[in-house]
Amino acid sequence: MLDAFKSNDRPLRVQRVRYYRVPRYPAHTDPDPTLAPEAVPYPWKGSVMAAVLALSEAGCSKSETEASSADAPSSKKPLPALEAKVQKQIDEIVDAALREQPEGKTNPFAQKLGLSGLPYVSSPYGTGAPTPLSAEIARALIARIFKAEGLVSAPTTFAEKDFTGSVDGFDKEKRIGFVIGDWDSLDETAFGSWMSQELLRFASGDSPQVPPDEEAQLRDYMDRSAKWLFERTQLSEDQKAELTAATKLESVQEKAKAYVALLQKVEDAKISMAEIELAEKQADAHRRYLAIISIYDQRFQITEYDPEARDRFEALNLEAEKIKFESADEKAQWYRRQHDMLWTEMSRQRLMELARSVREYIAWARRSGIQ
Amino acid sequence: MKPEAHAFPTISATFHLTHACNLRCDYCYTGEKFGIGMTAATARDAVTFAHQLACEARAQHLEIVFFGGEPLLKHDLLCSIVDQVRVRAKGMRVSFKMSTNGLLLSPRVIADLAAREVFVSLSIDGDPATQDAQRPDPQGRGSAAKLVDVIPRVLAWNPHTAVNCVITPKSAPNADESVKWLFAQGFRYASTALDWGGNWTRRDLNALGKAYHRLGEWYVSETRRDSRFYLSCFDEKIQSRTRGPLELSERCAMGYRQFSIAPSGLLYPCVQFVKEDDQHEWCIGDVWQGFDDSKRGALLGCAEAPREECGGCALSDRCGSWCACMNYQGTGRLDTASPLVCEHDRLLTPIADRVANQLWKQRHPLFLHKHYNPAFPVLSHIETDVETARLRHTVLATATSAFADHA
Ligand code: SF4
Ligand code: SF4
Repeated sequence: MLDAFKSNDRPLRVQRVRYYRVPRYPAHTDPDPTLAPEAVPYPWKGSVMAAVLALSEAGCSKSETEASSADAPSSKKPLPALEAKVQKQIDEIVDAALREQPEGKTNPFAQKLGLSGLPYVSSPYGTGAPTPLSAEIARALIARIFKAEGLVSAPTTFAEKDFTGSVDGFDKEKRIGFVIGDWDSLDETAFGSWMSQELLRFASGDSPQVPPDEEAQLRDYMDRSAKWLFERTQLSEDQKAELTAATKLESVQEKAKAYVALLQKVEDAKISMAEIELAEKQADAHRRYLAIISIYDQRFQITEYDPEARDRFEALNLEAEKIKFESADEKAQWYRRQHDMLWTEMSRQRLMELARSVREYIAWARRSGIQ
Repeated sequence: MKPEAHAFPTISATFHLTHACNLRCDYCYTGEKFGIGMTAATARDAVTFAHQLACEARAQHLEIVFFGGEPLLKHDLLCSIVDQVRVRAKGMRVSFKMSTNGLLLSPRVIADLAAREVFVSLSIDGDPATQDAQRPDPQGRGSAAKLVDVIPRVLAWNPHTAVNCVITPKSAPNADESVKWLFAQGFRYASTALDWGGNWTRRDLNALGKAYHRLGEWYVSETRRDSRFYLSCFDEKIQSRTRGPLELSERCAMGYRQFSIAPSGLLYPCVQFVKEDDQHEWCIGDVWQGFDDSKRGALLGCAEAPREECGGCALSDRCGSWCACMNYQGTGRLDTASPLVCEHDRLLTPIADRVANQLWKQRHPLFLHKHYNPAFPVLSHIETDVETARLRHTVLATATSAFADHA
C-alpha cells in the first residue's frame, strides 16, 4: 500500500522510451491503404446505385433473371441474380430507353470522346467523391437491352492475336458485344496502380541497392502491396500457389520478379488499353464491335456534390419550410424519404444515360455493318 | 536560426482584442483580467501590418484569429477588423477564426459572425458539472446554464463548429464523460488539451489513462457505427504515424508562421506569452516597426534545438514535445521537454495505437479514409454540410439580412 502510494507520488519526469512495439496500422511510409479493396468505393454512399434502387421499391418476389447462357467458353462468372426490385427498376429504365429512337451516328464509347475515364489511374487520394457505376447493375441492364434488340449476350473469352480477354456479353453470329471495364476485366494499362509500378521497378533492378537492415521492411512492404494487388483478381489454384511461394521468398529482387511474373500472367488475360484502341480502330475491318464501358465513365457515375444535387437539396429545404410537421421526428423522416428519392432519381438518370448510350452503340454498329 | 523566406504558405495573426473576460477559469494562462482592449487605431495598424507581412512573404493564405480574454467583449472591433481585412485582401485567401467562451453568442452576434464567415471555436470543458467547476464567472457562479441555448444555436449555424475541452487534474477521471457529453450535444470536432501548467501528479495521470481507455473504446464503437467525428487526442496521435511528423511550415514556428498581437500592438510568438503584455523577454516586435528578427530568430533557434533528454527515444517523432510553448509551461524553458508532456504522451500513444490497430484489423473503410485519404477532411465537411443543410439554411438567411442591415 505504502509502495503504491509512493509510486503514485513519484514526480513526473522525462524518460526516453527505449523500445516501442510498432503498431500494425500502416505508417506514412507504407503502401497507401485507401487502395485496399475494403476502401473502395468511397464508403458512405458507396453503393448508391444498388442500395437506393433496392430501397426505393416495395418488395417483389425473387427475380427470374437468368444467368446468361454461356454458348462460348468463358472465364467470367455467371451473372448473379439481382434482387427482384432492382431488376424491376432496370426493366423500367430499359423500357423507357427502348421507346426512344437512337440516331446511331457515332460510337458513344469511343475512347477519343474522353468520357470513359480511361486509362484510370488510382490515386493516393482514395477514390474521391464520385460513386462509380455498379458493374452488376450495368451488366444486367445491358444484357436486357441486347435481348430486346434481338442480340445474344453470352460471356466469351477471346484469345486472338490482337485481342485477349473476357467480355461480358457477345453475340457470336452478329459479332457485337460489350465489356464492363472494371478491375477484373481491364489490365494495368487501363486501370493503373502504382503498386504494380513499384513491383516492376524492383523486378527490373532499377531501384537503388537496398541496405541490408531495410530489407525486412521492404519485403513486408512488397508482400502487403502484392496482397492488395492480387486480392482484386480471381486467381486459379496454380496462381494462388505461385502467390504463396512468392510471399515466402527471402530476396527482395527474387520476390519482386516472382510477383511480376504472376502479375504478367494475370494481366495477360485482361484487356489492355492498346487492345481497346485497336479493337475500336479495326471494328469495321474485323466486323467485331465491342463496347468497352468503364465503370469510371463520367456520364454514368454520381458525383455526390455536383451542382445539380446541391441545388435540389436546397430546394428541399425551401419546401420543408412550408410544411407544418407535427414533430422533429416526422420532419427527419420526411427528409430521409426525400433524400432517398433524390438519390434514386439521380441513379435512374445515370442508368438511363447508360441505356441510351448502349442503344446508340448498337444502332451505330448496325449502321456500320453488323449483320 | 532564420527559416527560408517564403517558407510559410499560411501566415496566421492572432489578434488579442482585450485582456478582459467574463469568466475566471482556474487554469487560464492569458494573465490578469483587466479592462484594457485594443483601440480602433491599433487594430487598423495591426491589419496593415499583418496584410503587408503576408504579401511580402508571398503567402497564399492569411489567417486571422481572434483571442482574448474574451474577444466578443470587443465584438464591434472584431467585425470591423474582418471588414478591413476583406477590403485589403484582394485576391489573397483570408480566413477568420475566433476562440470564445461562447457566453455572448446571441442570435444577433451569430448573424454578424455568419455574415462575415468567422469560424468559431468554443471553449467548453464538458458536462455542466465540470464546466461549472472549471469555468466560473467572476462571482464564482457556474457558466453551464448560460450555454444551454448557445450550443444548439451555434451548431445550427455551423455544424462544423469546433469545441475545445481543457482537462485538468480535477476533471481527468471523468475526461471521457466530458468528451462524450460534448459529442452528444452535436459537436463533431472536439479538441482536448491538458492544463499544461497545472499541478499534475502521477495519480492524476493514472486516472486520465483510465479515462482515455474508456474513450478509446467509445472511439472504436462510434467509428464502427460510421459516425464521422474528430477527436484530437486520438486523431492527432494516430496521424503522427499515418502522416509523419509535422514540418516546420505546419507548425507555429515561433512567430514566423504564427504570431500574437497584444491589445497594445506588441508582437509575441504565441498566445501563451502575451499574458499582461509586460513580458519583454518574449516580445518580438510591434505592429509599427515589425519584427525584431534577432529576437525572433533566437527564440526559434532555441525552440528547434535538439532536446538532449529525448535523444534516442522511440517516440520522438510522434511526441508533442516539439511544442516549445507547452514545454515552457511545464519547465519555464523552450528547449527542455516538459515532464508532463512526456508522461502524457507515453500514456496516450499506446492507447491511440490500440484504437487504430483495432479499426485497421477490421479494415474499417471510415478509418481508412479518415487517416489515409488526404481529401477526407473536405469530403467529410461537405457531407456534413449536405446532412445539415436544412439547419444552416434558416440561420444563413437571417445572417444575410443582418449583413444587409449593417451595410
Ligand atoms: S474564458 Fe478563456 S480567457 Fe476567459 S478566463 Fe476562461 S480561459 Fe481565460
Ligand atoms: S518527451 Fe518523452 S516521450 Fe517525448 S520524445 Fe522526449 S523522452 Fe520521448
